[in-house]
Amino acid sequence: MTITLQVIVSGLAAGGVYGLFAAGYSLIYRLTGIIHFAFGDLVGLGIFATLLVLAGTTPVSQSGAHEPRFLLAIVVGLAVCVLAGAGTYVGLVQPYLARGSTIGWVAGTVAVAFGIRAVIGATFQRSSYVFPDPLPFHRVGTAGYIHLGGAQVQARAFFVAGLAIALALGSAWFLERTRYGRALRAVADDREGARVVGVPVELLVTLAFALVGAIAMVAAVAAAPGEAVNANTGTLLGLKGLVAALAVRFGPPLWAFAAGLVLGVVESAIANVHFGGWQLGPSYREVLPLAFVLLLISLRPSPEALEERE
Amino acid sequence: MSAFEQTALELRRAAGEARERWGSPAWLALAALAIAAAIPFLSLPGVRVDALADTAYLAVAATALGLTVGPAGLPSLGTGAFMAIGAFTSALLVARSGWPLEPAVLAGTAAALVAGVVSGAVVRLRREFVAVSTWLLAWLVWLFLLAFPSVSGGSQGLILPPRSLLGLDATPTVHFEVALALTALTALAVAAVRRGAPGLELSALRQAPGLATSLGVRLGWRRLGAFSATAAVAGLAGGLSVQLQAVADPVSYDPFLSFKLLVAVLLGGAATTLGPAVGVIVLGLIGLAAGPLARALQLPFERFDTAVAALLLVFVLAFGGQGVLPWALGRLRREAPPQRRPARPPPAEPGPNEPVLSATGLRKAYGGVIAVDDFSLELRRGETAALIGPNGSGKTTALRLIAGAEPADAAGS
Repeated sequence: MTITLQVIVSGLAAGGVYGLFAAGYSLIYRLTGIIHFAFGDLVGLGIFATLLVLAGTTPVSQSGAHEPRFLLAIVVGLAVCVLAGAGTYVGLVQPYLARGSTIGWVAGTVAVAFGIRAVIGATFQRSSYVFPDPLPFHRVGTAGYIHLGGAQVQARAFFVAGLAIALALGSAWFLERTRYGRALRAVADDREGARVVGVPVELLVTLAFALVGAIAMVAAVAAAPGEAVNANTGTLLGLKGLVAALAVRFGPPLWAFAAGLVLGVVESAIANVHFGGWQLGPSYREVLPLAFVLLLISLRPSPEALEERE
Repeated sequence: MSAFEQTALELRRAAGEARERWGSPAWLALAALAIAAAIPFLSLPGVRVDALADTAYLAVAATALGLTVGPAGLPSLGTGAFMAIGAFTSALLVARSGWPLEPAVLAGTAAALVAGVVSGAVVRLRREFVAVSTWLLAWLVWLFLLAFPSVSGGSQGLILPPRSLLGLDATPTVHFEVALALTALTALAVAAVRRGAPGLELSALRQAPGLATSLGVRLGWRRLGAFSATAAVAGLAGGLSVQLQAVADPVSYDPFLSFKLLVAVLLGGAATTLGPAVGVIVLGLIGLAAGPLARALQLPFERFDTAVAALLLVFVLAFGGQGVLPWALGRLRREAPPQRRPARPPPAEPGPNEPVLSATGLRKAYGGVIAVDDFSLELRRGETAALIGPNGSGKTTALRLIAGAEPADAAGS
C-alpha cells in the first residue's frame, strides 16, 4: 500500500509528460496524416536552449535559479522549439505531403531528429547535466520529499502531474470551445472541405505543429530538474509519447494523453512493485510496454491503420 | 505447343532480354566489383581492410533493404534491429556455446528471418504505421540489449574467440571478399525479383494498392516476402560482421544504424538495384573525410557522422530524392548515348493501305471451354475497327492473344 501511492504519483508525473507528447503526436497525425519522428528531439532542443540561457554549457553547481533569468530562458527555449517545429513542417514535411511521398517525410523527420541530437551532443559534450530548479521544491517536506502514510513522494511529482493534466485539459478546452480549435478540428475532419470554407489550412497546421511542441516542452521543463538531462532526454520522452499514441492508434488527443498517463504508471509499477517475492525490476521498465504496443498494433490493427484491401 | 517448347521459348526470350539489358551499367558494375575485390591485395596506404569489410557488410544489408524500400515502397526504419538479432544470436552461440562460425551465422540468419516474419505483420498496415512500428522495433531491440547485460555482455560487449570462416583464417581480407560476394549475390537476387512478376506486383501495390488488390495481387504476402527477406539478409550481414569486429557491442546497434541504412538506400537511389551499395560507399567516403574535419573542429566524431548523414539525406530529398546512382547513370547516358544494335532491321514504314496488324486462325481453349476459335483480323493504317460481342464471347481473350499476353493454342500462318 505504501509503495502503491508512491508508484502512482511518480507514475502520473512521468505519464503526464508522456501523455502531452502522445497528444501532440496524435493531433499532428489527425491534422496532417504524418507521424512526427522529430517531435521528441525538437522538444529536447527547446530544453537545451533553455539550459543554455540559464547556465551555459558548463555543469550547473547550484540547484536553484533566479526567477527573471529563468523566465528569459524558458521564453528563449519556447521560441526555439516553436521556430524549429514550424521550420520542420514548412521545409521537410509539407513538400513531401504535397507530393504524396511517405518515404520523403519519414526520412526527413528522422533526419531532423538525428540532426538535432548531433547538434545537442556536440554543444553539450558531457554525458549528462543537472537542470536548475526555478521552484523551491527542496524546501517542501523533508528535502523535497513528502511523507504520506509511510510513502515518500517527491513534491515535484505532484506539481508535474498536476501541470500536465492542467495543460491537457486546457488544450482540450481550446480545441473544443474556441474558434481556432474548431478550425483545427475541421482540418482534421476534412482538409479540403475546410479549405473550401475559408480556413487558412497551411497556416493553422504550421501553428499547431509548433504549439504542440511548446506545450510538451513546458511539462518536460517542469519535470527536467528531477533527473539528469542529456541529448537523449527529448528522444526518449518522444519515444514514450509515440508508444502511448500508437497504443490508441493516434486516436483523439485526450485518449492519447490518458494512454500516456497509463504508460507512466505501468512503467513505475514494473520497476517498483513486488508480487510476493517476485519482481520484474527496472530492466523491464522500457522494453515490456514497447513490446506490448508493437504486438497490439501488428495483431489487432484498427481498420483505418490497414492499407486498402479488397 | 507443348509445355517443353513453351519453356524453351520463355528461356530464349529471357536470355534475349538479358542480352539486350546487359548494357554499359552492367559492365560498369562488374568492373567495379573486380576492382573492389582486388583492393585488399594492393596494400594501399591508409586503407584499413577491416573498416572496408565492415562497410561491405553494411552494403549487403543496404542492398537487401533496397527491395523493401524500392519495389515494396515500405519505409522500414528497423533494419538495424535485424542486424542486431543476427549479430547477437551468432555471437552468443560462438562465445557461450562454443559453436563454429558458419552454423552460428546461419542460426543468426534464421533468428532474424523469424523476427522478420513475426514483425512482418506490420506490412499490412499503411506506410506511416510501417515506419513507426519498425522504428519502435529498432528501439525495442536496442533498449533490450542495454537493459539486459546478461545477454549483451554489458558495457564490455561479448568477446568473441577467433574462428575460421569457410575453412580459411577469418582475416579482414577474407571477410571483405565474403561480404563483396554476398553483396553481389544479394544484388542479383534483388534484380531478379525486381524484373520478375513479384517485383511488378510489388510496384503495382506501391502505386495503387486498392487497384492491385482488386486485381488479385495479395498485398500481405508479397510485402511480407520482401520484408522478411530483407530481415534475413540483414541478420546474415549482422552475424558475419560481428565476428569481424571480434566483439558484440550493443552500442553499435542503436537506432542510428537503421537510419544509416535507410539513408544509404535513399542516397544511392532506391529505384536501382545497386543504388543502396553505392549509397553505403558514399557514406563511407564521407566518413573518411569527416574524421579529420571533426578532429580539426574538436567535435566528437560520432556526433559529426550523425549530423553529416542527416544533412546528406535532407539534400538528397530536396533535390528530388532520386539518389546518386540514377543521377550518375543519367549523366552517363546523356554524354554517351549507347549504340544499341537493333535486334532486327526496322520494319519499313507501311503505306496508307498496307495492313499494320494481322492475325489469322487464332484459337484458344481453357480446359473444355473454347474461348476463341478461328479468329482472324486485319487492320490497315488509319482504319478504326470495333470488336463487339456479348459477355464472355472472347473479346478480351482475342486481344490478349494478339498482344502476346497469352499463348495461342493455334494460329494461322
